[in-house]
Order: sequence, then C-alpha cells, then structure tokens
Amino acid sequence: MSSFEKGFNPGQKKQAFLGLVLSFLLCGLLPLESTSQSLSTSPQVASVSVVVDGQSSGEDMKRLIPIKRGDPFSLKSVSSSIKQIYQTGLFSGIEVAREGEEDVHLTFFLTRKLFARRIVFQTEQQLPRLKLKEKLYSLREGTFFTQEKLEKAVEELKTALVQEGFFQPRIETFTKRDPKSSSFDVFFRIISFKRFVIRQIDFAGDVIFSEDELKTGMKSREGKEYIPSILSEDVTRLEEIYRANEYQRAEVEVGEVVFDEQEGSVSLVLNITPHERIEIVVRGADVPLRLLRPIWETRIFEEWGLTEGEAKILDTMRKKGFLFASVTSSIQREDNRMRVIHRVTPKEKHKILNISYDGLSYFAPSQLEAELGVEEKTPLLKWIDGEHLFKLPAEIELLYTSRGFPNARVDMNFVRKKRGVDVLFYIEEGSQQRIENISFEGAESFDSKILIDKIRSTQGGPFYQPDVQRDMEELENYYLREGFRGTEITARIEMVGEDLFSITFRINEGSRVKIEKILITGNIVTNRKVILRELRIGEGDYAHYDRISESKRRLERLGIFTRVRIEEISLSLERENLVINVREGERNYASLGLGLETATKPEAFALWDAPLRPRGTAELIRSNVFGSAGQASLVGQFSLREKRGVLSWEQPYFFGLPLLTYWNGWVERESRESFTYDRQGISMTTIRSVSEKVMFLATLEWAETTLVDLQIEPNEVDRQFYPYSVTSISGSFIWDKRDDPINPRSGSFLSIVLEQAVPLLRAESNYLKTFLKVQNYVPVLYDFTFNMTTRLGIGGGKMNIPIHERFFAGGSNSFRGARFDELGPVDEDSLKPVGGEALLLMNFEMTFPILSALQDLRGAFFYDVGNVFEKREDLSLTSLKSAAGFGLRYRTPLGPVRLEFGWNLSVPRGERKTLVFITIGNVF
Amino acid sequence: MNMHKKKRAVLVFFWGVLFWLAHVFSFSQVVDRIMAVVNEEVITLTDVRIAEAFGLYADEIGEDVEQPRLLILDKLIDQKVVIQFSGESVRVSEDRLDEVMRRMTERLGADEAERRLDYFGLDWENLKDCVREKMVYQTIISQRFSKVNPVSLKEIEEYYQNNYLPAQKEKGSDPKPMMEILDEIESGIIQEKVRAQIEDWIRKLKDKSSIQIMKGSLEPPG
Repeated sequence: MSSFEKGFNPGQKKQAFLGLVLSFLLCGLLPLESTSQSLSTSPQVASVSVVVDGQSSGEDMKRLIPIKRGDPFSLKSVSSSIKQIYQTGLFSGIEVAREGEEDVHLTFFLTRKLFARRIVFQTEQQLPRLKLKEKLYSLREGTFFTQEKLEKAVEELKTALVQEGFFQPRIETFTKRDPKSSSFDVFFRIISFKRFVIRQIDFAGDVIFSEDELKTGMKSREGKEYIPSILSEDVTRLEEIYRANEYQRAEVEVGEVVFDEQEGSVSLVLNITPHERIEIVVRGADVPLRLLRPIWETRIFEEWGLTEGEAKILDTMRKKGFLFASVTSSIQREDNRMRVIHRVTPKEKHKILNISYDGLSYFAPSQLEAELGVEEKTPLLKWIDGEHLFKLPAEIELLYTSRGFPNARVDMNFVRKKRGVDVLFYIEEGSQQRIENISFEGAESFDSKILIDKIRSTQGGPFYQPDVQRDMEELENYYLREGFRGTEITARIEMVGEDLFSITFRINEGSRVKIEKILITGNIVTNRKVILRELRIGEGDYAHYDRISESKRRLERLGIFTRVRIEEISLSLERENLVINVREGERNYASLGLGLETATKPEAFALWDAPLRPRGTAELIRSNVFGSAGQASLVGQFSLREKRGVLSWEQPYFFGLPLLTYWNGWVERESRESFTYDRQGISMTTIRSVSEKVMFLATLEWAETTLVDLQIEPNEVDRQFYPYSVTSISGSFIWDKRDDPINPRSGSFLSIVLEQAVPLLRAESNYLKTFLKVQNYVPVLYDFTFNMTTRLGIGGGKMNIPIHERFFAGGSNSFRGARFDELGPVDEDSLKPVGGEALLLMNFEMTFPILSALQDLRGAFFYDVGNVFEKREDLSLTSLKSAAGFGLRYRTPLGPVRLEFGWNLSVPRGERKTLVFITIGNVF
Repeated sequence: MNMHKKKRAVLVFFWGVLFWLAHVFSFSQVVDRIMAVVNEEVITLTDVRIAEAFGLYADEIGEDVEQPRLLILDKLIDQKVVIQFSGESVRVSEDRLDEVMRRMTERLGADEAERRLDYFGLDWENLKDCVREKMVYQTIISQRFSKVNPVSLKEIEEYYQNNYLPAQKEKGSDPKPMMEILDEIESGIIQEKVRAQIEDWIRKLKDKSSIQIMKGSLEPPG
C-alpha cells in the first residue's frame, strides 16, 4: 500500500485531490499565459508534423512545410509558411497548432482542396443539360469545389432554368466523394418547376409593321411554352427585321410580362422603338449595302459616318479594279427619315500591270516587296488588288519608320497603258536615325556582350523607339530564363548627334533564385519517377523559367494528365520550391466504329445499287498502365476485304532514351485483287522527333505471310499455303512543312523509307526496298490551291520480292484511271495485277472554292500520271499511263471527304470507263 | 479485487483522463490559421494580430469595440482588394513611411514596440512592409477620391434641418443660424459623400473578387 493511500483520511484525500486538480489546471493554463514569458527565451522547433484531412501524412507532405526541425520558432515564420503552403493550390484550409515552450512541436492541419469531377443534373424532364452546364460559372467540372461555390452555382442554375422556361425551380444538391482522390461528383436534383404557356404576345410603341409580319419571324408563339432565352433571340431577330427595312437604330425590348399562376399562362408585351429610318443609297455603282449599314446602327457624328461609308465604297471599287473611282456623299432629311446618299463615279476599270519604285536606296525593290507581302508567291505571278494597292503608301511609310526613317514620304503615281496601269511609287526616304551606342548599367551577372545579343537593336543599326520597348521585354525574359526574379529594366534614350542616339538600359537585377525542393502532388497512379523523367530542372538548379515551362509542356505531352500546374513557391529572395500538381485523366477508352461498304466493285453510277455490307472497328485502350505512362491497346477491324486484330504497346521511352516506341503484334487477313493472305507478325517502331517538322522512324519487323488464294501463276516466292517469312529493318525520314497535315493548303512534305529484308529468324527474305514521296501545296490566286505529289518506289535484291511486298497502284489514293491495284503488269493467264519492283506516280491537282458560304466545300481537277514496273530496269518515263478527272471534296476534321470521277487517258477513247471514287483523306 | 485496488484503479484512470484533457486543451494550442483568402491571397490570424498589436487601424476602429479582430480582418480584406485591383504602381515615399513608423513607436514606447516585434518574430523591416501596405491603400483612396464634390444649397439646408437642429436640440444647446455654420456643414456633407463613394467602390470591388472568410476561425484563440 502506498503512503498516499495510507496517510490520508477521506477529508485529506478530498483536499489532496482538489489540490492536484488545481495544480493540473494551473499547469494546463500555463501555456496560455506564457506567451509573454516566452519572449525572453528563444524557443526552437523540435518537430514538425502534418495532418492532412485528419490523417497523419508521410514524408512527401512534410516536404511542403518550409519550417524545419531546429529552426527558431516565430509566429511570423508560421504565418509565412501558411501562405507558402496555400500557394501550392492544394489546400483550402491550414491551421497550425503548437505544443511545448522551449522545444516547440508544430502540427500543420491541412484540408485538401476538393475538385468537382462531374456535374450531374438529375431530373425526369428533358432539360438542355449542356446549356445549363455552361451557365454554371461558379462551378465547372475540373475546378475547385467549395460549399460557397456550390451555393452560388445553385443560384446560377436557378437563373439558367428560368431562362430556359423552367420557372420557380426547386433544387437539391448532394455530392459523392471519390475515396481515391480529392474529387467530388456534384449532383443537382431538380425537384420541381413550373412551365407557362404564352397566352398572348402584344407589341407596343410605333410598331410600323403588322403584328402578323413580326410574329412570323419569331420562335416564341402563342400557345407554345414561354422560354425567355428564345424570346431574347426573338428580340434580336425583330431588331434585324427593322434593320433590314432601314430602321438601323431600332430597339426592341421585352416589356410587361404577366404570369397567370392558376392558368399556367403568360402574356407578353414587346416594346418597339424604331427611331428614325435611315435609307442608304449608293448611286453609280453596285456596292453591297450590308457593308454600309453597320456604320449607322449606333448614333454617330454624321460627317464621320459619311467618310467611313466613302472609304468602304472606295475599297470595294478599287478591289474590283476601278482604281480611280470617286465618291461624294450627302444627307437628306424628311420627317423621321434620313437618306444617306453616296454618288459614285467609277471611271474606267484598270488592271495593275507593273509596280515600280523611284527613290529607293535603303531597300532593294524585291526586298521591299518581300517585306510588304507583294512578292511573287507563285512563280512568275506577282498579284495585288486595287484595295491593297492604295494601302501600300501607308505601309511603306510605316516600314521605313520601323527602320529608322521617321520622315519617309511615299507618293503613288499611275501611268496609264493600253491594258491597264503601271504604278510608280516615289519614295523620299529622308535621313535615317541610327543607334551610336548601346550600354547597360547595373548588369552585374551578365557581360554586356551577352545582353546585346539578346536584343533587337544593334549598335550602328536603325533607331526605332518601339524596338527599345521590345528590347526591355527581351532582357526581362532573358533574366527570367536565367533564374532571376524581380528584375526591373528601364531605358534611357539620348540624342548624341544629328540623327544619332545612345540607348542605356538600366538593369535593376532581381535575385537569382535556386530551387530548393521539387514537390510532386496529385499523382495517384503515376510513378513519381515518370514525372521526374520529364523535368528539365532539378533541385539545386537555378529557376530557369524556360526549363520550368518546358517541363510543364513535356508532362502535358505524356497525355496522361488532364491538368499540369507548376507553382513556384518563394521561400526567400533566393530560394523557392517547385510544386508540381498533376491531375490524372481517364485511363480506359473504348470506341466502336461502324460503316458500310459495297460487296461488289463500284461500277460508275451503278454504285448506289451495289449490295452493302457492314464494316467496322472496335478499340480498347488502357492508358498509363502500371503508372508508367505506357499505353496498351487492342484494335479490331473487320470488313469484306480485311480482318485484322492488333495488340499494341506504346511507351514514351526506350531503354531510358526519349524515343516514342510502339510494339505491335497482329494477325490479319486481307483480300487484294490477285491474292488473299493471312499474316501474323510483330514489330517495334521508335520515333524520334528532331523538331516540330522533322522526324526519324526506325522499325524492326518480323511477319509470316501465307497466301490463301493466289490468282496468278505461282513461283518460288508467290506460293499458296506455304508461309513466307520476312524479317526487315527499316528507317524513315519525314520532313513535314505543311500548314495542316489533315487539310493542307500550303507547304511541302517529304518522306523517305528504306527497308532491308534479311534472311534472319528463319526468314527467306533478302531484298531492299526504298520509297520516296514528295508533296507540294501551293496557294494561288483566289484561294485556289495547286498540289503535286510524286512517289517513287524501287525494290530488288538477291531473292525476288514476294507479291505481298511488291508495289501496286491504282485507286483513289494513287492513280484514278484504274481500280484498286490494277495499274501495272498483269498475269498473262488470269489478267490479274502482279505488282512490280518499281513504281512511279505523279498526281497534279487544282482545288478551288465553289460557294463562298460553304468554305469547306471545294472543287478539284486532277491529272495523274505513273505506272508500276515489273522489274526496276523497266522503269521508263515513256511507259507512263495518265488519267484525268474532276471531283468535289468537303473538308472535315478527319480529312477531306472526296467524290471523284476519273478517266484513264491511256486507253482508246471508246474503251474509256468512268471510274467513281468516294474516299476520306488526301491522296497519299 | 479488494476495495483499495479498485479505488487505486479508479484514481489512476481519473488521473489519466485529467492528464489527457489537460494535454489536449492546454498544451496543444492553435497559434495560426487562415482567416481569409482574397483573390488567392491569404490573410492569417498572425496578420490580424500584428495589426492589432501595433494599432495599425486603431484610429479607424476605435477602442471600445466588441470584436476588434473582426473589424481588423475586414479592413485587411478591403486593403487587399483595393491594392490588387489598382495599387501596383502606387509608391509611398520612404520619408512618409518613416514618419508613420516614428509616430507608432512613440505611441507604444520603444521598449514595448521592441517587445511586440520580438513576440511575433518580426523585425522593423517586416513591420514597415505592413505599414507600407496600409499607406498604399490610403494613397489609392485619396488619389481616387480627391476631387471635391460640389454641395448644393438645398443639401446644406436639408442637412441643417434634418441633422444639425435635432442634434443641438438633443444636446440642449442653442442652434446657430445656418449661415454661420455654412462651411462646417459643407465640409461635413463632403466627407459623408466621399465616405459613401469609397464604401460603394470597395463594395463593388469586393463583388468582383473571390473572397473566402474561413468559417469557425473568427473567434480568436489564445
């Protein structure tokens, strides 16, 4: 028994107990009072722990906290830490608790920010869900979720519902949290609403037109449901009606709206104020009034309106070739009517024959034209319209000003000729202002030679003040790229002689910031090392801004994240943390494509009678497999001609090298004109992009092909049922300078493929094939595009090339004077194509717009020339076949849909057949 | 188990609970937290306490208010909003800043000021930054609302009738004739108009801003 239990009677025990309680309470209260006492001591941080959403977190989160064990404790540093942690964008709430006096134990309680992953509207009624989602400004899918945002979103949804005719809506909300990530699905349950039917629509004010006329143009009708958004569109439509009838300033407003709750109906009044009628008259020329009407839609100074109208008329006339047209204008008033009259004197129509320059000394004429964009874009074709011609003097003056000639003057003169006019520009260049000296003040970190390379202005070069502004931005960017933050740059310009200037850039260098820690968050599946591999900057490096941006780009390019954010969290003037926050996207994709194909060959216009059978594709993709950014896919294709299954694996690196690599394994059956084959194979392709336009590919492939239906005379390589294996290695070079790879209009494309088949891995193959393709797209006048494609293929080797590896041509993508595969040598008995060791094809096309309202619809004329040669020695320009035709094409995001009619010009006229092709994609 | 052992067990349990409660409620103390986020900029409890300790808003808030920290937080939010929307290019002269700092030190006493700086782990430069921010805010306001608002005679008359006379009556003093106190009334009306304009402008800025005041954090701990 202890002395405590022994020596105390009940009274003593009670006393002792109270004493102890008091002493404990005092101990407990001590820290509350001790804040002032602690001033004299210097408490130190003994430990830092982190609790995220109520759960104790690991080391990764601790790295987010700038305060470390051993740091002196201060409220200032705690407050700064809170601000730094908040900047990461990951947390919505941060609270810091302290334990201990001398040795301070800090606990950071962090509450994660939540994301709205999906927004779902729950109702049994038909709702314009997409429209409603667009109206939720406060809460969007993929943005941070807070209760406040949700409350705002409810109000926004109510407003949007009312706009769509769902009045007095009652909405309930609830959320479902994804336990794996900090995201929510937000559900808006629309419990009830009221619909109102339009009982009556009245028009008030000076209506002018009959009510029936106005109502015809409206979608809101009596007896239909009242939808304010549609009524608002009607208001715009009514205003357009008035504008089309010369009431340019007409105003239509929704006036009184009276709801009858019991009847469930609504009466509407539309207030109409037509204002004055403005009649625009153009005399003496055919100028579309739609160009002039917008000028008078708002209240303007009438003089300005007339001048603006004249300028537009002159532009139109000059574009048409009436270079010397003139306009006079006046305004007539009569009651509530204003008449704007433009009198045009078109004079003669002229062609611009030649442009020449007098007084040029700084520029050569060709150089000037190149700068102005009037050089020959198409060989031997320099073209400029009258509208652009009259803008040239101002453009030339501006160009001279930018080269240091502030007083340059340009005069345009015409010399009339029989067929048109020659244009002569007299140019008075004036004196050039130059930069004598460029210096830098305050630049301690970089030599002035380095800085001078970074700017556009040069010593001895032209002086143009806006360039100095750009130079300052360039210098700021350079400092930023080199890891400096907070650099301020000003420029002092001094005149040091006649037309001579000195520029001094005063640089107040910021601090060069080093990255202390790189913190990665948001990666649930993705391995940390996959993210680190893409970074072009590391811990301890200077915060090179361009490298940070490049790292972000590389992470985005992986295609596994829907969002990548890199935040620079400043720790001090010279230190910062880099917080990389990623959001992983969906990992599973499935797609199904179905189409129709003809069971028989299309025969000219009998195409539509051909029996149709389905064709389709099915695709399953799993991305970011094992968190490695790799992707697995399974693709199946089936049609009458081909059946194929492909299993692929795509990875962004190959043995640590940044080579996009594909591994494919496939089985297929394909029917060609002369043979049907079964094939199985595996291949590995790596792609290395040298730049945006240049790419190298290398492929290693093994395939085993069995001909199951051979319709030509068999030989040692073209044999039925006995498999033929090919092991090949190929290299490709691609140089793509087209403006758009899907629907190109200008630029060029070059590809070279070299394939060596070797007798390895039990393969018999032993040949070399090369294939070259060059494409050119040249824009010519009036949106016409000229396209030329040349293809040359040559093969040969110790062994004959088997039929399934030979070159074939014919069809919509190669030679439009023959059906698929049917150009070139044929088997003597079956007359089926046998392909060849060489191929030469050239396609010439001119495409042009058909309707200005349908820009994507284009017409085309084509001329194809080429042939397939059995042996490469047979290749000869004299044995080429030719075909011509025309077609229509409609540009889609997948490439042009083409309908083409072709005729083979190399067969006698009487035997020519019209071939019809419907294809998607370009000739390739 | 005999009675003594039972008692001992109860006692041990009781002490354990007491110890745990004492540990939870007194040793672990919230020292800082986010109080508001104004367009992604954080205001912490420490920011509010610093403003309180150095009387940054003492003139505006007064002394006998119930929840001074709440009012300070409101002031800090106004300040952030105004500076974020229009204050980037405004500079405050170092002389003016030094003068304000000097007056603040005088008011608190040098030792007390030093003690408070120590308490928060601040140096003079840190405090200067806080004062600078407030002065930038004041400069923006005064630049924007420096234009004198014209006051009509009708407004003066209305003010005299509706405000001045009742106030004098309440005090029990004789009201002066309107013409005698014309300037006084005019300046009063101008001040009131300017204050209303400032309030209106800040309210509009706040409407455009994203402001989150953390619920549950308004009661100051410690």
